[in-house]
Amino acid sequence: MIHFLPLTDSVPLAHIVGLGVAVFAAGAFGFLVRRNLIVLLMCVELMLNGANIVLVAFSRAPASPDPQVWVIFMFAVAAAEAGVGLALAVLIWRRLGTLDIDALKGLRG
Amino acid sequence: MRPLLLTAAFYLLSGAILAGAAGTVLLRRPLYCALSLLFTLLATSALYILLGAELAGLLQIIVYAGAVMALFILAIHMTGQDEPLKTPPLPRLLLMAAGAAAAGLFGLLMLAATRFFIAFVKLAPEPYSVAEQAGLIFGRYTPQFELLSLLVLAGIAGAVVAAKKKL
Repeated sequence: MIHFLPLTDSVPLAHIVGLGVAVFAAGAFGFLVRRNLIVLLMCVELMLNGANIVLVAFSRAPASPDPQVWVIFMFAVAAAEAGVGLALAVLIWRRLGTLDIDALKGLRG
Repeated sequence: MRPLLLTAAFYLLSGAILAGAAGTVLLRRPLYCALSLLFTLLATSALYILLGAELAGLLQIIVYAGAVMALFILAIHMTGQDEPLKTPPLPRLLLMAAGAAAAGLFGLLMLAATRFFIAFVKLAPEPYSVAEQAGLIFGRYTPQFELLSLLVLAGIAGAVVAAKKKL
């Protein structure tokens, strides 16, 4: 009983979850193929955003306010992650003069 | 008319979010990536409000689209690295492997959620009140909230230590 475009005031849960998972997969793809450190951090934010969309979707299907609280917690995690990540990016840029992750070879044996 | 309008708004916002995500991943200049991500985050906050998560939507604008994106754009300007990298592009085989990995991830996650898919989500429902969510944060989730404050403190300390030239 999944209509493709329901002409009611509701949408299938599958479409919202699909949107969130698609955003997550796009972020994962970007994380694999991009090489600018700051863009990599943006792709991580994209993945967190996709996860948040899924959480909001599941706060409605079995109705419960808890997932929306988790989304608010995720904002704090994302802010801390961006703060530390960008500090590290600036540090690496100061050391190497570039943000290209291919220049990071210090740990290669 | 109104239900149709809500449904149309949902699918338009979904398209905007996906377009912004594609722009973030595919655009070559980091600043354009950042602006594309900002667009995605604003469209997502509109989606949250449409789904009745008003507090999350408004906090998304303040924390994510405001503070975090300002930090990103500041970092891009501070390092002055706003040109596409000079390194040669990835080999086609690697790009295809990354695409296959992302597609596989999408398929697996969708498969995992399949058993919930008979449900429908009502658009623009009665939102949960701020008092109700605050009651959860400072009630059932107090330990997590305290741990989170520790995490943010560690983040601040880490950022300061990392950014200092000499300790």
